[in-house]
Amino acid sequence: MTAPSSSSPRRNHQYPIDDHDLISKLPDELLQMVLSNLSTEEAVRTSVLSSRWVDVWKWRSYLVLDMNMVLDSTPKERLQQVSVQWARLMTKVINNHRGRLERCTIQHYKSQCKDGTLQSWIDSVTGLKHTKDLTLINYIPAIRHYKRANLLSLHPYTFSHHSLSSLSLCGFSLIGPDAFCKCKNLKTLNLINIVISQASVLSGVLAAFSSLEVIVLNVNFLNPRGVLKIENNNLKFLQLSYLNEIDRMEVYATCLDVLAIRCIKVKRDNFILVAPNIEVNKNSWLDNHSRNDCPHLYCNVSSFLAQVETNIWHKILGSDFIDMRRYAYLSVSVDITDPKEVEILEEVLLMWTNGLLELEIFFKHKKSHREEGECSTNDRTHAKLFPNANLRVYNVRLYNFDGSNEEEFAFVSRLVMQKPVIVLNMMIETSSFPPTKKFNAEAAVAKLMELKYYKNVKIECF
Amino acid sequence: MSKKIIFESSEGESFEVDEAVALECQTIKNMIEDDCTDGGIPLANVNSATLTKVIDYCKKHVEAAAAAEANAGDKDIYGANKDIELKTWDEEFVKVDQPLLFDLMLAANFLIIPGLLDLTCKTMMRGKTVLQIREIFHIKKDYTDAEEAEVRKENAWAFE
Repeated sequence: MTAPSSSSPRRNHQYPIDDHDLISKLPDELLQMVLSNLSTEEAVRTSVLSSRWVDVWKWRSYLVLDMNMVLDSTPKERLQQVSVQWARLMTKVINNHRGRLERCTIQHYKSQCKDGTLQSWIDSVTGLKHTKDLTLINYIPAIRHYKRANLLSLHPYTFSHHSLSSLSLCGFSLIGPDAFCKCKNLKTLNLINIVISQASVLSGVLAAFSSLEVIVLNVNFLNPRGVLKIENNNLKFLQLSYLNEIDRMEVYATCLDVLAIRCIKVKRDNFILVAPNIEVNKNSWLDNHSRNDCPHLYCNVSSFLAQVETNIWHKILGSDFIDMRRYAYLSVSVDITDPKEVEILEEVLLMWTNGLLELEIFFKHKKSHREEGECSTNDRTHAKLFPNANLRVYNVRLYNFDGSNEEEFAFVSRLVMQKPVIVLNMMIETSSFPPTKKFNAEAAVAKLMELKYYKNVKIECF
Repeated sequence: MSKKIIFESSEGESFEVDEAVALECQTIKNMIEDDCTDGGIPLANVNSATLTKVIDYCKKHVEAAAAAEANAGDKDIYGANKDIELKTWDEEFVKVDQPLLFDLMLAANFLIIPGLLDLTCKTMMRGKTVLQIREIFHIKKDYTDAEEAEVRKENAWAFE
């Protein structure tokens, strides 16, 4: 675009002499650090301060380029024209930028898919700038009309750059796995508001990424028939939210620690899950017209969750579950004797402070029991549980609990007794237990009954 | 058991601090690990006023970390109250005049104290217009009108 309101109002002599300009004397790396705390626009704008600043922004490690604001205020018939103009300006920013990028978010209009601009953007930010985390958002004027998502047609191997470890695509229609070939280093894939002809196509796309650890799917299928198959032994985190039905879903993931289902319309019998770390109980599948309509989180509390930057955790779960969490169901497998795991469990539980419909806890006992001397750290587990949170749970189901482990019993009794934690029903699964264990469990129930804080808590075996 | 480390400011003034406090600085940590801190550490590019502030910062954060450890049991999961208190302390801490603020930045960068560096950089320019930035930091424009127009044109995406 042309130079704005050009050479009029402000004049040089308004500003004090540059002896007072201490900031401009700082080394580049510090100025870059200052700019890294600004939005991309704000940072780019500093180029107009003085010649000292003209290049400083160009070394920032992330870019967010969008035309959202402009397109929102553009009449429909001019969208294409305006987007092409803006795309040129965005290309300039990308070309002017120097050095590498950690993160890059590009938001555009369908015209940039069609005229090859999007392809050239992706090529420069991956090939030249070695972006690690790339987000592409296609602007769709009316969000509800998902069928208007635009075809993401890209060259084969577009996302194969070795630096690229996280890819998010929003608002596209995908036709095949070509662009996703050879993505050996991709660890995270978010497909948000994506339209795909049928499930088998998505299976093909996902099969192209054997290295994925995190998959988030928010996908519409135009044809409800078909099988979605995810087979991946690196996968640790899978979030599913579909809008329409498919025939069958198969997940084979030996390392899966988190399965977050927001809303899928697959009957339990047609959902095949082979993930040994996760306990998906048949009766926990919400039988609401044979569909799982409520958000349900299955979670194996593990070292993976401890390592993973909590931002994945909060970003994905927080944003997606927040409006529906009253109805949420949560299943966790946890080793209560491991203080680290208890800490993570608390964090997971506290995401649902507005109330949980059902909480399932599977008590697992890790093979390699903690070494001697580590016991002292466990004092923490006896401390007060969530002192400031109001956790409300309608049903708690406990599995593999017989009260013989002190720490487990202490944990359960806190659930029953502690004031801000409100549990209405507590059920302890014993039907699979051998007689001795069953006997222990019944004794534990009797002990819990004496402890309970609210008269209304029902505690029983099933 | 607490070993002392001696810093020497650019004016030659000595500052004795606990080793734990000095360890907040990555640069010093490396020196301690390499065992070359005997006889004090001269910091030729950090003046006394700045060094005093830096030491205050490190002390506070060491104390806060120790307190958090001790109270781990009754932590409020949403970020302990202690954290809020520390945050407020941090905010107050950087309310200093520009020369000192920039000296702190340089010192944090040189000594590698990520928390302090981040703190000094964080809010410096956020939410301010070019004009405001110019005024606050006394940045004089050295462009001719034609040059400025060129810069604006190159970066038009951000100015529209």
